[in-house]
Amino acid sequence: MHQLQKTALGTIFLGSVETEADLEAAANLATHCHEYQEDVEDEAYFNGSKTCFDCRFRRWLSGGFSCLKNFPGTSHNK
Amino acid sequence: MDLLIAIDDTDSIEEGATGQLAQHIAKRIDQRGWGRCGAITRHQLLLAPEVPYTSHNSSMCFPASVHVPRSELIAFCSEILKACSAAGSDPGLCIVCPEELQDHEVLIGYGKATKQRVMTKEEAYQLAEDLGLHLSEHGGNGQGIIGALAGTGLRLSGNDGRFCGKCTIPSSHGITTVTQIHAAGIDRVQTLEGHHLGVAEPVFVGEWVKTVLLDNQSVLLVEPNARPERPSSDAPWKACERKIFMNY
Repeated sequence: MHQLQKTALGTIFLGSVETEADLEAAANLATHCHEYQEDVEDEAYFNGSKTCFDCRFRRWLSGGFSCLKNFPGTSHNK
Repeated sequence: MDLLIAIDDTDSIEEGATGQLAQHIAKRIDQRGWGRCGAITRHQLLLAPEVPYTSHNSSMCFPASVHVPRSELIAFCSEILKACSAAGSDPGLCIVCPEELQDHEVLIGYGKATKQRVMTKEEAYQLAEDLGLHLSEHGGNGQGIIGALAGTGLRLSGNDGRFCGKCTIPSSHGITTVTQIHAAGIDRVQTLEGHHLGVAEPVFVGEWVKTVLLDNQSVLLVEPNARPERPSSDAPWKACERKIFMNY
């Protein structure tokens, strides 16, 4: 998954809600995440769809987000 | 006395939501008979690794028209922040009386700057003192004062952020008119490019919509309805997809 990139700040999902591939990747990550928790309504953007973009544990950054649970279920969490 | 009340940094990774806490404070002020509170707006601040926000770095602000001494209101809001903020959070409270401000632009400028660069608590306290505003911290490292102060400035600008909550509009199969949208309390309906829709124009709104703050008004953003949600939704306009709010 090319959206997940290791940086000096840790692993970051680089992507946007405007790009289909990024939407798909974020949905896929959320589907396989046991820590996923939908954020409150005012911070959500996809009306109940399971996606990291709407997860309480994503931490927004310019150009993407990090994961406060360190992307569970991926090799980045090991 | 017309005030702006803003709070920030009241949540933690695991619990709390600043928007809900702002709603709670507004409701309690109303319930006490102290006056009336207006709709809450959410204001996005700088997203940068060096800013110690929890997950989205947004501030919440609402107007309140009250008739109690300001000291009493401050004490009341402070009590709620202390009691209801999440453990480990860094709550801040700002209360501003716009009528008393000699220069709105200074506070608005601070709000805008907070969207662009990392600010310090010292800067925030200094500005609050210069302008004669109430600014206080209520736990943790008190970093929330920066967002709280910025929230009042951005709300005062009349051109930042989005309204919290959902607005339900009477419709037939999700289609309504601009007149009905106005009747639901939304001031204006316009495209992203700024084209204002006429009152008779049909708009697909679905079950509910959210609005943004533009020109001190609650504005529903719409776009051409190129792909109707269903065969009956042949309105020429539809409310913009929710993801557009990332820009507000």
